[in-house]
Amino acid sequence: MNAQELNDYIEKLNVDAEDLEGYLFEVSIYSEGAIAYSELREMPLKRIKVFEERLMDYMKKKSGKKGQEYL
Amino acid sequence: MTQNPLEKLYRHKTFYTSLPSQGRFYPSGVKLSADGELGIMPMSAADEIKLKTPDTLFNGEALYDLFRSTIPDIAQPEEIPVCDVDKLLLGIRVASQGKQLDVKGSCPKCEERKTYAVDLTLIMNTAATIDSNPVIKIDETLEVELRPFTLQSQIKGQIESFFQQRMQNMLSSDNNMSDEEKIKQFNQALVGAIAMQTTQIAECIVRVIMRGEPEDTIVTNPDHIFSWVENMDSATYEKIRAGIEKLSDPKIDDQVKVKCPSCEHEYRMTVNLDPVNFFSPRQQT
Repeated sequence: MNAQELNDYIEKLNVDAEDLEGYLFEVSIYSEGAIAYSELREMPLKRIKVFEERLMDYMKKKSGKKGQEYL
Repeated sequence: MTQNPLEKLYRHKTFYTSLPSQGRFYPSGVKLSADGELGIMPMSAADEIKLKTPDTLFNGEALYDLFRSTIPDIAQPEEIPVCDVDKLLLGIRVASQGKQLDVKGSCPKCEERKTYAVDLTLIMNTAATIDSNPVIKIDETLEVELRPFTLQSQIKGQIESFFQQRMQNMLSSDNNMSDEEKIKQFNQALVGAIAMQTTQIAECIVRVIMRGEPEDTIVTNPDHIFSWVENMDSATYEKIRAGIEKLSDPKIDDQVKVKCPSCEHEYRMTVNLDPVNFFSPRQQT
């Protein structure tokens, strides 16, 4: 790996880390306090995805959509 | 903010695996299940972020923290024998994201690039148990008890080689430096590399047994062992190094056999076990 490749690689790592942190903040914000950022950090990503799916489901139902409407 | 005592409830062990070392060579201890396996928890989001932090990856802290977080039954991750490292990393990947890993490969016959689903547990199962005797006989009067390289010594070695490489690049590209200064710098780097190798070997010697009358002499003092390694003949050094390497290598087969869906040609390709790419939820390329 030459110097340029190393720099690109480090840059990619930083971007990926920021994306992941941003994702956790979003889930916490959209949950309106139901789950804290610090709690999300300690959870496996698989479980966060399950939480996110349920949250989306809840928000759609809350907005009045039901059944096939939001599929 | 105080740590939430309920954090430990967020995750639990979801995968168990046996160890090539069978739990030997952990001076501070490892807690195995009743059937001799080690429990692994999935990675937390914080672990995933640490694995993407360049500095912690470089100095090894990311890996130590990863083992501390996902395998709490290992008392000191720095002590993990390298024969167990790859299997444990595979286990963490399976516990976190499942056993399937999508790997891209190009068929050597039709050159078609395809994605193949690889079952990581099959790769894990290729790891052999380290059952060789850790005591090697140098001659009729001298025996040495060895242990495999540790994760810590492996990481230190990698950091050292990185700096050696950087030094070599600098010396070859710096036109302002005189030849004398280059030779001086090179010699310093060489001395550093030799000292590093000596330390690595000395750390893997548990004790030296000198057979004699009326009784044997057993040496365990690390300073005495280091001095001995520094001054030993090359044949003895090679014998000891080969013994340590044998204990350190579980011979995991990281090659998988795949069949090209386009031309049905069967070929083998290598799965990259580098922790950063390997834990990325994206496909390997």
